[in-house]
Amino acid sequence: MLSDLSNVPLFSERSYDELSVGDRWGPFVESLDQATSDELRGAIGCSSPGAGAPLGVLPLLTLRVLRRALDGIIPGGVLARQTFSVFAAIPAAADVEVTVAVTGQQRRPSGFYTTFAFTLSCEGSVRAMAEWMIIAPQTEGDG
Amino acid sequence: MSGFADVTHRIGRAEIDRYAELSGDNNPLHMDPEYAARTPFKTVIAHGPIGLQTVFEALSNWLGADGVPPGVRVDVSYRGPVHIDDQVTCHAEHVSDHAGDLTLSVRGTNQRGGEVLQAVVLVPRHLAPRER
Repeated sequence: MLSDLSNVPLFSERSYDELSVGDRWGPFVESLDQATSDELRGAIGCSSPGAGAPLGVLPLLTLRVLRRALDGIIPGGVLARQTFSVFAAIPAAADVEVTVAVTGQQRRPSGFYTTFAFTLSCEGSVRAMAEWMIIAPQTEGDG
Repeated sequence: MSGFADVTHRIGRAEIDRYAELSGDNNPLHMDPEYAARTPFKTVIAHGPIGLQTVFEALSNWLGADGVPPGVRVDVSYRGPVHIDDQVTCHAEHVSDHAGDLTLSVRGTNQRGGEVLQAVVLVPRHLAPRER
């Protein structure tokens, strides 16, 4: 069973423009279990057994960690892009250590873009990396 | 593209609720129709990675892998929202072979033909099925 998130607020009191490139959080340990891995091999809710963790665990674990890192979800952001790079297999049931850092911020006419980079490790070795780009709406006074 | 079969998922309220439960993302944009009505999306939308599951399943089917194959890279751009009861289909449109990697261009569309995602998938050549 995945670890409890009930002690983390749903919404963060932070805003994206309060963050800075180089901010880092973690490692957070997410206990991935067999049942969750099996639910993420195909359509959500359709379980299929397997020994390895499927690709679907990567967005799920990083989403959980981002909520922990920011003390909740920063309201108003829209997920624009994600990248997942796999270096080594992750077991279907394993403790996965995840760190996250802000690696990019850019103000554009279409919004304020923040990029987060995640490193996922298992048993002391890096297994995968992920990046998320989130667009926050422009606030009053933004160019 | 030969061998990389399309995958379609219908994404209903139950799938969104389950993903919210697993991920801890109970953002009202995904859960609360009244809240969503006040956003630019107008209605509840699915978490982006739910539609991405079509790409992951198609890729796993193609590679015959039950886990995450080392060397694989997926870069997805979310192009449009997925609404309740949409059917998302992923389709590989192009493949190139360069420097030991196959690069697949994959497009995800809804039942109206609207684009919801674009993905570029890199797969080490040696992992790809031999009939390609």
